[in-house]
Amino acid sequence: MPLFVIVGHDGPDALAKRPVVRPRHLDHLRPLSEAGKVPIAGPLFADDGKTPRGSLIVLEAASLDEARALAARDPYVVEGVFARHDVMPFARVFPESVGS
Amino acid sequence: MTVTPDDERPHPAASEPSWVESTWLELHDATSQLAGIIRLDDRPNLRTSEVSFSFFLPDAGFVTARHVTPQAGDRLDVVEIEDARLETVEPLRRWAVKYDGPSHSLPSVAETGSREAWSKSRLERLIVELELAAVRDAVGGRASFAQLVHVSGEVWVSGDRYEIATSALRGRSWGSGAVPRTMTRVSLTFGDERALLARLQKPDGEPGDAEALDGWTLADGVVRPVQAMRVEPADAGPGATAGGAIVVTDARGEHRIRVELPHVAPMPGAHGGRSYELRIGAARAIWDGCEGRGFVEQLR
Repeated sequence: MPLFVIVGHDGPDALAKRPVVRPRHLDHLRPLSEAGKVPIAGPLFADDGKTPRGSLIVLEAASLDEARALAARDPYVVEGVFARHDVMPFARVFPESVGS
Repeated sequence: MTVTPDDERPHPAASEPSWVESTWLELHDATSQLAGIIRLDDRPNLRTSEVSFSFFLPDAGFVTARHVTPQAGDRLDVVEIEDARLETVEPLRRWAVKYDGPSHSLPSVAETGSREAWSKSRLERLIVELELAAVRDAVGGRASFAQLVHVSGEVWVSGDRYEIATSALRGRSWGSGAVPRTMTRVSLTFGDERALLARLQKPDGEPGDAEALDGWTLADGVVRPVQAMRVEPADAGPGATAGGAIVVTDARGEHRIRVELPHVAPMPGAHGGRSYELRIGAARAIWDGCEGRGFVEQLR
């Protein structure tokens, strides 16, 4: 299954919105994660290492359109935690494994 | 007992292997709705030190980090265990707590007793940066002391920031580490002027052993020993929140404190061949019109 990376960039109110919206964001991703379709995901931080600046989500989807649709339904997008987000096709190179 | 700065240092250990000296902080911030328990347990006879951070999140989630090391080191004023640093800046007056490391989280605090839920727990980055300042002098109890403090700082859970500015209770206890047969423990603060810390427990001996009560109230600037305490559970019903009333008696008379427990964490355990369940509830309380926060623990 093709991989895609979603990079969300936090908006100005994200620090206050994140704790409120996060449970729904996690509920959105959890079924995908439990189906093994989210190899890695998590927040991106500012230089202080604790203030969030956005999120990175790597996920499996059938197509770029499906990945974009999944991103568009993410509560972080719907409820304005992200000011903008990018969805790009992605290819895994590392970690290397036999047969990959 | 009279509490002195020396009580911030380790007390002589008895011979029981499970003898433990515990330092604890319980905070429940009304604005951020974050409730947390931070503990340091030293077991000198087992040569281990354990630090744990547990937080009840406003959405009913639960986050915890726990680290055990062979020994916490030689310094008495600073304890560093893995990613945690607990400093006594001034004994019985000021402290600092820091942590920046991994934690595990559950979507629902009600799942804390489920092995399956923990097997699916999510890894989170937990940052704790708290400063504590004494509001009142420490009150001595049975091989223990506790005091009202003000806690300020931040807790971050994978980028979610919780600002903390609240009254809280912190303390220290030392003893055999035996788990009582039953226990009800209440720790509540109502701003900087009013508090209740009380524990009613039955030792793990013969079934007829009497219950022991230890604790105090703080009101009108006066600390008074608790003379009696009972729990009146709320009526169950559709949509009912766990809780009820804590009825305590001190020298001023009987006080009825209404308590709601919106988030309760079941913590199963075993000690000496006996299984038990400790239920820790993050509490909202009303006492004489004053709103308070804290915890109610029940062991059965």
